[in-house]
Amino acid sequence: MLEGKITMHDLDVIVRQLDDLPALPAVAARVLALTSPDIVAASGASAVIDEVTAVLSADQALAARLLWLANASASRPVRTVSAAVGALGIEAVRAAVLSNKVCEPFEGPDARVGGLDQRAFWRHSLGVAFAARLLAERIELPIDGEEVFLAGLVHDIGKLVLSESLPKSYARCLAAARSHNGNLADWERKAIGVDHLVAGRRLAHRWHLGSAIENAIWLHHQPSEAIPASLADAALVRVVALADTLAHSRRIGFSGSMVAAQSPDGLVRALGLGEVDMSALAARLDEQLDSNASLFGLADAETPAPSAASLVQASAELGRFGERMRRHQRKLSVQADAFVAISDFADGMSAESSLPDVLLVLAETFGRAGANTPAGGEVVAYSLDAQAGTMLAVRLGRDGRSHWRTFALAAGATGRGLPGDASSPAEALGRLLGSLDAWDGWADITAGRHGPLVCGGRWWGGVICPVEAADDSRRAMAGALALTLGLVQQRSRADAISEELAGASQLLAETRDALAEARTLAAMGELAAGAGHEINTPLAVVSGRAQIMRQRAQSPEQRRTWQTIADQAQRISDIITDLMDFANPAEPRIGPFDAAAALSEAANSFSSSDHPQAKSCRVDIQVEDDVPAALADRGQVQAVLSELIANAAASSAGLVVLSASADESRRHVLLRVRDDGQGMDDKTLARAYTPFFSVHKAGRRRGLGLPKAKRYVENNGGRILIDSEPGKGTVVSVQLPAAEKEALEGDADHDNQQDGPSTGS
Amino acid sequence: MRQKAVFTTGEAAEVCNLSQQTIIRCFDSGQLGGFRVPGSRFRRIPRVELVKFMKDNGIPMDGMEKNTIRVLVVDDDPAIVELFVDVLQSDGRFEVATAQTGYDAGVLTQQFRPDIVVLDYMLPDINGNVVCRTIRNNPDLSSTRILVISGMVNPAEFEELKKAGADDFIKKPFNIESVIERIIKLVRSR
Repeated sequence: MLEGKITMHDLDVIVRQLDDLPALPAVAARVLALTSPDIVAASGASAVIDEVTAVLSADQALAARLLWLANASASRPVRTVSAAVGALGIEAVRAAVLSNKVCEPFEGPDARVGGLDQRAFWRHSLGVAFAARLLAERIELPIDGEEVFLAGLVHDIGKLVLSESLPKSYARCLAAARSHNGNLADWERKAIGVDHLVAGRRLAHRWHLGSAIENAIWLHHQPSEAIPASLADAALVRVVALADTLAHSRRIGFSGSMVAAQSPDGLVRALGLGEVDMSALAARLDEQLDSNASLFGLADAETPAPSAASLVQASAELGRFGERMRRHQRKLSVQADAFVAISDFADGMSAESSLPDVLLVLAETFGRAGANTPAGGEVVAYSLDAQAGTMLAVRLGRDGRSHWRTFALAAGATGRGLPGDASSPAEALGRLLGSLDAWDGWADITAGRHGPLVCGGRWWGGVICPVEAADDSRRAMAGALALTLGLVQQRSRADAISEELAGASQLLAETRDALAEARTLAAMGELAAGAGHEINTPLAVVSGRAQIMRQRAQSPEQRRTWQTIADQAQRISDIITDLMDFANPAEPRIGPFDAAAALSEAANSFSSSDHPQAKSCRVDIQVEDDVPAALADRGQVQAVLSELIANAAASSAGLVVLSASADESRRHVLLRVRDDGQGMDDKTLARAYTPFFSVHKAGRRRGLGLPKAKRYVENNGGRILIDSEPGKGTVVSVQLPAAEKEALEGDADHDNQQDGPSTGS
Repeated sequence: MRQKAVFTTGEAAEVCNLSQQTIIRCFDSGQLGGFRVPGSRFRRIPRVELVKFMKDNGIPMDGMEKNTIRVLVVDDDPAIVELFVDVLQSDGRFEVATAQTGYDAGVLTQQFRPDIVVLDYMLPDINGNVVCRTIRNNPDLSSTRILVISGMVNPAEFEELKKAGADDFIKKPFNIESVIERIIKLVRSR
């Protein structure tokens, strides 16, 4: 399978491969149609139950699943499918069939394909589905509730496409999004080149889920105002997007993204909802999820019956076998006649065929033409993208399996006139690729003949097939095939452009959010500075008077009371100072310093502080040999380290380990603070950088520690990463730029000074 | 001895020119305020209490001190000014004058000749750094120390103040004992 960065065409290839799996359509589509409210109203519930039972009985995996579900909730054993349908009710059966069938292509023996926790993922999807349906009911969206439910359920299905196809790359995306506390889609675009929005859209397209659901999948990260007013399904897109943010904020399941793609405010406004609506919805959502989770096999504590899982597996195998049989049969019935070939070609095509679809059909058409000859052999079809400088090629092996590869074109390969007809493959490929090195070992072309596909004076692609393939018939259909190929190329480029545009508008919205955050912080800084003047003066009076009263107090008890008042006044003032520092951090004074010395100084200042664990918690320091000097503001880095040590000590079981090392490139210094505490789960991790969020409930410290640390480190050109798992403690890493090698010598006195006002407290 | 913050009964007896027995009797009856050293029976008398006792009983202050430190407190907030007056006067080592505007502060530095000006940065008429500069530009006041107090801790503004002639800086709210220590240290450093 493909790994690394992929292109839009590659994506089509991936989606095509997924299509080989048993897919949504047959059973689910039938059950969907049968159970739509109109039909139920028209033909009566009992008639519908009979028909549904008939359909379901044909699908053993589904039948087993339904029986198991019905037995899980019934008091008496349920033994027949019709009894199960009767016990569960049409609504529940419909939902169960949908959820089962939608996720079926992705159910494997490994529940964490590509690092995605399937259970948490489906729980998130289910949360979004229920939330979307509730929202749709509330705003009286003129779309069938089940369609809305399905849109919510599959809104993130692109993640499964990507994690299934590119498990390694995808695991990296998930890890990056996790440790940077970021949005998964950003990392998908960075690491793979394509995000789950686009991938999901393609899959929905192939599965014929309809344009409304396609758009909901594709556009649910778009900010409300960027969703085009002309889009017929704009309301559905917004409903799904809002449901997504709701599921994120309620922490329902885990989507792989640490943060919601956008804030709900714009969506809430655009849908004409208010805060009251939202909290009422949230309450109903919890209720529905609780009562329905077991129905979908997603309740936290249960595991699916093993027999059901193996049945699903078996039916998947059967599906694949059926697919192979279908292809085989098609091959046997082929005749080497151009007319039949073209009509076959046309049969294999539809208005929605993607470029890889067309290429594959093209190769199959030629493969059939040569199938009757003894040479048989491999057929290659390719499509040229002069703009991107790439060639997408499919090789149809003797066993009927297709193999895909993208080649880089030589500079100006298509600009030097049209190729001669029926030239040798080596000559044509040599001209296109510059050399045949990349091709060697992929496809054997020595026995083949090259046929270019040219239309309108442009070279769109070509076919390489065994010599025995009838040249005449190929020539006869070449024009029509080239035209088709050209049209599909154009359309797929238009698709890609619109997808890129959507990505760009999302990026724009993110930039705008970042700008808004910067403005908010600046405003907060001004406010805190103003408040500093205004609040600290009365606080000085309160604290001063309390200190005088403490001096005059007669009993120790009174003295303690006055001391408490003075201390608390000081605490208010500290909070304001912290806020100001956070919103408006001091400009760093960058200079080289010894990282190990900074660590030990931070450790000392912690041990001599009044932190509750200062005496009881051991702090060890490990320094690797030859750590380069760090280049940052030493005072600020030490303040960050003290904060991190204090945090670590608060959650540790008695040991905090500090370490300093260089990364592989020696361009960065890594300072790590590790504790042996309980660690954090994903929910807590996701909020680690939220100001004033704290897991320590009783006697909690101010929750500005990590957000402030992050801000300071980033101001110093560094990065801060958290790695934590429940039960395994937490490691916070501060990555700082390393100084040039000689920088520390001769500068040693200078960087020891810490500037800034002394304080009187 | 007169600069001490806390006295033993023996020292207090010496300052007041009374017998140690008398001091102990007054301490135990509550006439003379103070505390016992934690974990022992030793009596300790804070300076404030001793000064109050001496004033209440008309005991001459000669034993306590001769040269008081002249402090000018400048703050537009009357509650702050009052706080300083209370703290400094009950201590006994200080003579205090107050001003609530930059203009008054200028006039008073000429008349009162303070050893130290405790200056709030934010004043209604002119800013603290102007007051600093005015004092620094007067050769007669070259030995006058300036201690700035403010609710803000902006390093850039603090640099400005230092350039304008401020000697030290204290952030509100503050510990009154360390403010007194700081004032004495600054004046002694002349």
